[in-house]
Amino acid sequence: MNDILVLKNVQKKYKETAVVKDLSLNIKKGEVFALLGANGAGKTTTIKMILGFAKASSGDIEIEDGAKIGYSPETPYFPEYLTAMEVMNYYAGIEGDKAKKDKAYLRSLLEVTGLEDSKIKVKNYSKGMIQRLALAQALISDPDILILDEPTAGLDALGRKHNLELLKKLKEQGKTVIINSHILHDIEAVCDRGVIMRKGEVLDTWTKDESDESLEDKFIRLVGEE
Amino acid sequence: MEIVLNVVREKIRRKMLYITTILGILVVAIFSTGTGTLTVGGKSMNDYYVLVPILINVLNFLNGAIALAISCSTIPQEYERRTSHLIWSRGVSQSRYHMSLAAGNVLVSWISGVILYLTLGVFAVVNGYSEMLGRIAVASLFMMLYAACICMLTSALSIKIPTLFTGTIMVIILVCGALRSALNLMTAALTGFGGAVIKRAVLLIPNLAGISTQAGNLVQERPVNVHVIIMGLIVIWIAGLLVITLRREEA
Repeated sequence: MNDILVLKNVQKKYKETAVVKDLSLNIKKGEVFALLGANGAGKTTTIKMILGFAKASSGDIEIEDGAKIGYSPETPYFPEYLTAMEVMNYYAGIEGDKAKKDKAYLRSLLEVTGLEDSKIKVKNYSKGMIQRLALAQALISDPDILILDEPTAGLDALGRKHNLELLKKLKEQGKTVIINSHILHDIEAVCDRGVIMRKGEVLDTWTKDESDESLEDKFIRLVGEE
Repeated sequence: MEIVLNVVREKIRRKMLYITTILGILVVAIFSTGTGTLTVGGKSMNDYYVLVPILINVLNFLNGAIALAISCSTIPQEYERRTSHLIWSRGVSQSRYHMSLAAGNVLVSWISGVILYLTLGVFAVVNGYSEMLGRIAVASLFMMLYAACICMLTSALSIKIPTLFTGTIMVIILVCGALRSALNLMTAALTGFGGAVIKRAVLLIPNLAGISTQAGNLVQERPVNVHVIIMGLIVIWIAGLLVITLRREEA
């Protein structure tokens, strides 16, 4: 498999404090990759740098030519006076691709995430519904790389199961997914590989079914150590 | 364009423009139906030829306040809610994003201003002064320039400065601009380096209220000061450059 995203010795400093230190990653096309770590590990900063929201202080980030990225933030906010379809239409409009503004296409994305094209305004949505809408809008451009920041946070058991099933389907479609999550059980269910980070550094890598030790045990063993 | 239209849609759905309409009807009705008694130098101001320029200044002031209120919060709110991330992830640059939001503010203030002027026009016709409609329409262009100046300057400041300070700075600019002649007189006596700096600072404050005054002059068939109009266009140009250039490090 080819690498679709490569980070080479990436460092991010805020004034003199390095929040990401010498991070190198090779993410392969079609894999589901996890960024793991406790709060302050540097996961969100890494995502911000991949998306171009934050500039790396040093190092290189290489994304395969022409690869499109979809992004679902940790705490999504959508204009509360809009309906789900209006939100989709708004972001499709910003993408600038007229084909993506097709109502049937946008409706299919809503349905795939478990939402429907109704007249209910976003202000009446539950946290789980907003999370699903965040996932739906991330799919508008039919991205090659999907970056999901806590995609199952705030979802009930059914919502989580639904989203995990959807992630498996996206993987089957050949999409590369990068997940930042605290819910290790979900990571084990859908991810192929990952890195465990602490204070901006990679402590270890994790590969599905590589050992008998569960991800949770490994995580606690590594991150719990001071 | 999507971002510009979304700013307008937000203000409409948040009932902002209904408030403008009600305000406009109330102000014009109070002045022109005699329920409010306006006298200047002991003379009753019931004559529409005298009343309209005053009303235009009042409506411009109201619309300026609305323009200031909406522009103060639009950009900071986008960053607070982090909606900016979903825009940037679609390849929209900060410059384009900020300019679209500022343009949205301008468009909302224009719609709000047009509603206020329409109210004035309707009352002029109802009271038998339909021949004033043409001049009211042309005067609305000055309102648009005035509102655009306020929106663009406020939007530019709000990229870097917290909402409360942006509002305060803009009020100071508007008040000092309107009182520039008085400030010139007051600072004339100042000497030394500090005095020179203050005098030049006063000279740099744009008299945005002067644009509004030109609308009244036009309706009263008095000469319009073209310099003030050019100053307004320069203010928009400089503020536009700031909107495009100023960046937030991260959000």
